[in-house]
Amino acid sequence: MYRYVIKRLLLMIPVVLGVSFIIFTIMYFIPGDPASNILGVGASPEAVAQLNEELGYNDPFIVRYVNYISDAVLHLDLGTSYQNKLPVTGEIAKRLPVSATLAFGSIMLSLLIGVPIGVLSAVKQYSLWDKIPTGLALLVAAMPAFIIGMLLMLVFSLQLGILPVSGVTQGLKSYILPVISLGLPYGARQLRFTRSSMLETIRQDYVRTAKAKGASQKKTIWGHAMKNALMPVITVAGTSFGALLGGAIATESLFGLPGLGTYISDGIKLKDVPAVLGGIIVFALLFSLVMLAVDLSYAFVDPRIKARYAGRR
Amino acid sequence: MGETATVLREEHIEFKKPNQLKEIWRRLKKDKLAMFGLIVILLIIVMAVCANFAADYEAVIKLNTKIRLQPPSTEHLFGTDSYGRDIFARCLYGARMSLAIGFFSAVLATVCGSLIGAMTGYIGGRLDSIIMRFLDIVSAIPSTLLALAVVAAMGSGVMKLCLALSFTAIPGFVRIVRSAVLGIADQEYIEACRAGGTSTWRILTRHILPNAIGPVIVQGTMEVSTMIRTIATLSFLGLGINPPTPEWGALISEAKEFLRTCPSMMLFPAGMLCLTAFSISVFGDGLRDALDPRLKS
Repeated sequence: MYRYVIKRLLLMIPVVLGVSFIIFTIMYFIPGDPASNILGVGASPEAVAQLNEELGYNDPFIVRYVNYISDAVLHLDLGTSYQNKLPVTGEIAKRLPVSATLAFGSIMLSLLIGVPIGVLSAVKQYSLWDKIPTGLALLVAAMPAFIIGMLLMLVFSLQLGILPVSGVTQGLKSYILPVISLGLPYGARQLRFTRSSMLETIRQDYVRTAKAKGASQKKTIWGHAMKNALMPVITVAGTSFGALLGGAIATESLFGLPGLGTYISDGIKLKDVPAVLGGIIVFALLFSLVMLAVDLSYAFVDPRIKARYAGRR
Repeated sequence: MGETATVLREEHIEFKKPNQLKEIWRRLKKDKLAMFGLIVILLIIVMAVCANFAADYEAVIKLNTKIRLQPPSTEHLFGTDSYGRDIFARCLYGARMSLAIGFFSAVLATVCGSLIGAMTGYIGGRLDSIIMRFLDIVSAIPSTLLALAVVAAMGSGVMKLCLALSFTAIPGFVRIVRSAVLGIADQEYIEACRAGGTSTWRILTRHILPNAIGPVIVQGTMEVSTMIRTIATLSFLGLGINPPTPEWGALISEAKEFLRTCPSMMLFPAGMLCLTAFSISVFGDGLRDALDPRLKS
């Protein structure tokens, strides 16, 4: 098991390096130079040229990339933002808890909605208990999170005035609307996966055997079928959590949450290359870690997988 | 001898060739939700194409501050926006932009992804592992962020936007087609083609790709819905279609400031966007079941 974890951790290195290289290459083609961005429009050409030289902008592409990566690895230094002249590492550390809270809350909500209703609609297939939730799930899954967010904002913040419109000044209360607007579409997705996984599981022989032996419906579903139907549920929750860490840009921007997503998207808008690079590299690292956690959690659910991991050399 | 031949010819029984398309259509027709989706999509396409007849493009971009932020009325079906422009007309022309970008990027991603997937799966070896590792890395970047970065590097413009969007969707198609090809490439009839001297291109396009066409069409359909939502998200963030060009996401973004005073400015384009995305999704679901009834749960 430990060997497997170490092997997977080592495999993350090429992925993160690859991501950084792709983003570095894309950012290379963004028009404009860093010194003009930092010094602004009024700067003299000499000052711009000098700062560019100091920042290593005139070095060849590959030298710049190697310098960047060695700074990042050796000193955990992801560069300095062009926009506010603050270190990118510190800014990311400040913003990560916001994104993590949002992602964690949304995934919890999506599981709370998706799993029980998904199981219910699978058990009562073709009844109204199945048709209404799956129909609603289809509709909600088709709605972008920022539209759900705007609708919620319209009702709860602007009309009823019970929840804050934007910012994180009111503690956890500020997260309620963003979490619901992200949790609903992900919950709809979770519902569909849970339903189809459960439908497949309850048709298995061992479930029929359990029923034939007189086990109650509740025991058959939650005691026998659930654990086996859980794998796709974990996968969806894991990938969604990973994606949400940096992918909730529109929701973060709508509710004025200072998270990782808005940091990267603002960086892209303002051509703040260090911010974008740093943000995406940290995101890729987190995403890989979450995916590793997902794979490891399979071992806890399914002893067969645990045995396979243990057997890997 | 001649007499027997005549008799045989007369007794020749004609077999009706099973028509694959008709069969699929028959199965699709039974799915009410999918048919609803199809009808709505067709209606929205007709509305987008005939937008000229419903409203002049002038009405879409001409500012008239005297009638700004009006609620829906008989004169302005969906009301007017902060510059006094007719929201109904802007939604109609917005449909043009959203649908065109959605369809075009999805088709581009489908074609490129399928060809790359077929090639990597069929040729295999080092090319396959290099491309697959590259795609693994690309998949570790959220698609919206990747699209944002590509747009920022290439600059704005509808064509560049389509390229950026399709770039993010290509890995999905490569995986689908590659796995289908891997299952087919070893079969005898492909070996027979190769032995007969058929070119790789012909084997790929005539013998291998048609076998993977079902999942590709379904994924392509779903992708249109995803693309329409992604472009709306990009426009909402101010990096997609720039004002005053109407596009659903851009219209919703403009409405953000006026959510309290004029909610209709947001509700109508958002409604059209969600209805379209929903219809395409249910149609895609139905199409998957119709193309391969074994998949139906």
